[in-house]
Order: sequence, then C-alpha cells, then structure tokens
Amino acid sequence: MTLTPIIRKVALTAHVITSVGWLGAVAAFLALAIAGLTSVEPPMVRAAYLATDLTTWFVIVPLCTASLLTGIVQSLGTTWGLVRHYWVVIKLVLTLLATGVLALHTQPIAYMARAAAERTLATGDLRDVRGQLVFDASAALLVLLVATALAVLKPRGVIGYGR
Amino acid sequence: MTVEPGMPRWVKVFGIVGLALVLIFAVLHLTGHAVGGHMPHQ
Repeated sequence: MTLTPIIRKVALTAHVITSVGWLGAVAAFLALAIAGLTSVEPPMVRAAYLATDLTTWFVIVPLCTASLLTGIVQSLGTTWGLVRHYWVVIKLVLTLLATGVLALHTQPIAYMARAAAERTLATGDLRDVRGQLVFDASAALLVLLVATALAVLKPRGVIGYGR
Repeated sequence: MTVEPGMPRWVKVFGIVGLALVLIFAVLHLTGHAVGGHMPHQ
C-alpha cells in the first residue's frame, strides 16, 4: 500500500502534530504532578490533581492514540515500512510501551483527582501515589524524547539485510 | 551512503540499555523498592 503524495503529506503532518502534542502534554502533566507533590498550598494541590485527570483524558489519551495510528499508517503507506528499518521498529515498540503504561496509570491519576476533589490534601497525604505520578510522567517524557530523536535522526540499519 | 551488513552498533547499545532498565525496574519491584507506590485500599 503506497499513499499518494498529498495523502502522505497530510498523514505526515498529522503524525508530527499528534506526536509533538503528546510530548508537550506529558511535559505539562509532569509540571502539574510536581506542583501537586511539592506545593503546600491546598488550592494549588487540588487544582493540580484535577488538571492532571482532565489533561490525561482530553489531551494525552487522544493524542497518544492518534500518534500511534498515524504512525502505523505513515509507515505502512511509505517505503519505510513497519518492520523494515530498526529505528521504525524501536519507535513503534517505545510508542506501544508508552501507550500501555499510560493505560495502566489512568487509575492512580483518577484516584488522585477524586481524592483532591473530596478533601484537602496535606503535604504528606498519599505521598506514594503522588510520587508515582511524577516518576511515571518523567519516564514517559524520556521515552517520548527518545522516540522523537529517532524520528528526526532516522539512524540507518535495515532489518534482514543480506538474506 | 553505504549500508553495513548485520545489526548496527546503535541498535545493540539501545538493546543493552533497554534491557538493563527493564531489569532494574523488575528487580526494584520484586524487592519492594519500587519508585512511587500503590494506591491505598478504598
């Protein structure tokens, strides 16, 4: 399946927008998670955790899904292929990993949002879960930065060369 | 641009670093030293 030049450009633009948007949304999530963990102002803590939940469901999850789908379309519709080049396969694995981890961690995010909505959180309350959100967002940001670098640099290496 | 046969060095380095990170994460989880924590029971 090869895309026409116009469709290919549209798909590439959509993939870049959704992927970079995902990266930026995760960076914003990390800032909110750090504010929620370190702030001593109850309104700031409450606002931070309510915002992480909204950001997750209305920005991160849609962008993550769109990035994965447009990336698959882009690779299948061009000469890059899905399993022809090492960088494409590694980027796909990283994206699937980040998507899976995101799906698993929507639960603690929702939990913190509920807790913040129901009561005033003191500095030490639910420290483990709050720390987990900072760690998860940091790890996700690192994975997405590596995926972005792979997409920009496109290091050479073809799978199955010489067979 | 020349194409070298076999797996490129950067892929091997990537694989080793990735495997090391997964192992560290698994060991930390199994020994109860995982970063972050679990949600309290409601």
